[in-house]
Amino acid sequence: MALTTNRAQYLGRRRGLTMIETLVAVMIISISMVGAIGIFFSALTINNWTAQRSVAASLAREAIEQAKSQGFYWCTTPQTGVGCDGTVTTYFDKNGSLLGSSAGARYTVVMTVSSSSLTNGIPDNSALRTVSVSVTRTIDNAALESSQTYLTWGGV
Amino acid sequence: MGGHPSTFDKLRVGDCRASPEAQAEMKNRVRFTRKERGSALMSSLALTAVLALTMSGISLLATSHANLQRTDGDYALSMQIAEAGINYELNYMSVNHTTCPTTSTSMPGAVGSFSVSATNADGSAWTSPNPAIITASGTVRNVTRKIQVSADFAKLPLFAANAVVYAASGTQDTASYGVFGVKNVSISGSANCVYGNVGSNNTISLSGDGETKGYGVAVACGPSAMILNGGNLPSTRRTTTTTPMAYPAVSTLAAQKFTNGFTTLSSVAQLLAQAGRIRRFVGTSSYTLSPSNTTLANWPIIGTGATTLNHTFVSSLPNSSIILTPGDYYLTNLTLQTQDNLILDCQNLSTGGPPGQINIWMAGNTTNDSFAASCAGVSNDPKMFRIYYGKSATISVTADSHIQGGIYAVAVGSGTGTGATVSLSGNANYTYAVLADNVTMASGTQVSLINNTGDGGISNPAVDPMIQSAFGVNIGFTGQWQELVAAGRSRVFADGSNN
Repeated sequence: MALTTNRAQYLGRRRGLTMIETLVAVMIISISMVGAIGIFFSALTINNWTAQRSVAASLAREAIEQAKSQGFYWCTTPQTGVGCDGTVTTYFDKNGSLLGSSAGARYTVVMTVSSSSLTNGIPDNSALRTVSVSVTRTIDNAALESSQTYLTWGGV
Repeated sequence: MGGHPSTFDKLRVGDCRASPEAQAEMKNRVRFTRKERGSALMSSLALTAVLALTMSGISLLATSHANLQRTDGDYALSMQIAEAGINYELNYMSVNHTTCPTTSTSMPGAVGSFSVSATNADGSAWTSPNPAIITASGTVRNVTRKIQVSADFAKLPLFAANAVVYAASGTQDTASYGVFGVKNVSISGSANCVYGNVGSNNTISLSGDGETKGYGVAVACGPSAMILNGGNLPSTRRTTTTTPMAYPAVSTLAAQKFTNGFTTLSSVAQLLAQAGRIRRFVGTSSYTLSPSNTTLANWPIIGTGATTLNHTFVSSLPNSSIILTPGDYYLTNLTLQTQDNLILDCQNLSTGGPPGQINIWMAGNTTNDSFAASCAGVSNDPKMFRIYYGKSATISVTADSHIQGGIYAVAVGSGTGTGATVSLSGNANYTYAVLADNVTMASGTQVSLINNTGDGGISNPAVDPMIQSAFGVNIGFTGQWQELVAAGRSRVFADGSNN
């Protein structure tokens, strides 16, 4: 009889403990889920950023190579033949395809060419031409990539 | 739990009415409850651990992907920066024409830096005008790539190998002019004649009847250039271009050809060498060039006389003749008169040695010079003789002088100052081309840009006078681009090559 009474008393004291355990467990799971979701979105952000950086790096490289392929006397305004130094802005979509305007653009590529010496707007043979390229995210102008190279007469 | 409550459910604490069965059931329930205690917590911890592992994997994947992309980008960017270093060095060498120190600098518009150096083919530090091996390293963060290229001065002919008729729509060519004055060309008086093109970056002033006697085309080069008083010249023989011609200064040419430019040319070694090439006739019996008929002229090797070719010296020699054999000569003063004979022994008959060009380089003061002597080129090939006049002064060619060879008198070029002037007058006759800062022609002078009579267009650099005397303003990439394998790194390509 006494045993039965003690056990009943014990069970009485334990009443609600499972609920507390469950609540603690739910709390732990919730916290861990919040953390997991945070990590997941962070990873997603990193992944998106990486993808954008990758495209931006490719666009910057392409712009530099394009400037090189045009030769030392390349002008940013080729139709006039003068004013070779200047800035050219182009826009690209999320896949890196060239667009005609900024509408729907994901990336903005700004290429700036400056020469150490010009005569009548045309680079001298002795000039060192600096080609700078910056790639930004069009929507918020966030810098993604910047690159630079030199052009010289007879250079690589 | 629906239906009738069990016996156990009816029990309460202190209920002494519990039957043995109920007590047994209660005992079982207590054991069961003890067994379940903490299972929810354990499950949640296990789930949390699984989640943590999964998220760790995801974050590791994302960051490693980002790192991989960055490293990949750095590899490409470091190569690009190394190439920028090559171009930087090429420009430095083209502008300075001197030894080229190792340069290390960061790229202000990119995350990275380059280090570049130039050597001769034998690995020694580069000296102008030798071909160069340029090595550049591009570094971006922890990635370094090294490339190597070969470079050489571009051989741009300043003088024409053949008579050139300028086409208005054609490419501008430094070697297409019989007469070119960077700053000014003035042709006045009667009976002047240029068989070839006349050009200037500024003013071409034509008067008299010269324009009816053989100008090729008068070319005003660049937006500042103009043709004055050229009304008699048909429009088909007048043209303008948008770009000024870029003729390098004589000092630049000297710097390209000699290690330290005019310093080398005026050195004791050079003066000794040229004294060993200046000859005279032995006696009065024969003035035919041969080793036996000629000997050294006892040209001074120190003092002003070592660089002065004048009437006083030449008139003291047999037949008033001085003989120059192939090679480079440095003079500060040149004053020869009508009775003097300057013999250009390009074929080297007087020594029996190998033929070659004769080049006179002039600099050192601003005293005017004059040439009124007889000048004979043994080979009759005017391409074999050059005067490079680097003085901001006037060299006058007068009194029926006939010079077979080119005179290049660009002392300042596009720079400031009047520069050098070549003044032709008194029926002076120049076979080949006159390229100068300023050119004046008066009274029956003639410049004839000739057809190629000597080398037939051959391109053997060792003997072709056009190649030997061709200069370029810039040094350029000639090929052999290759990536050098860094220590401890494998080859770039699977076939074992890295280029």
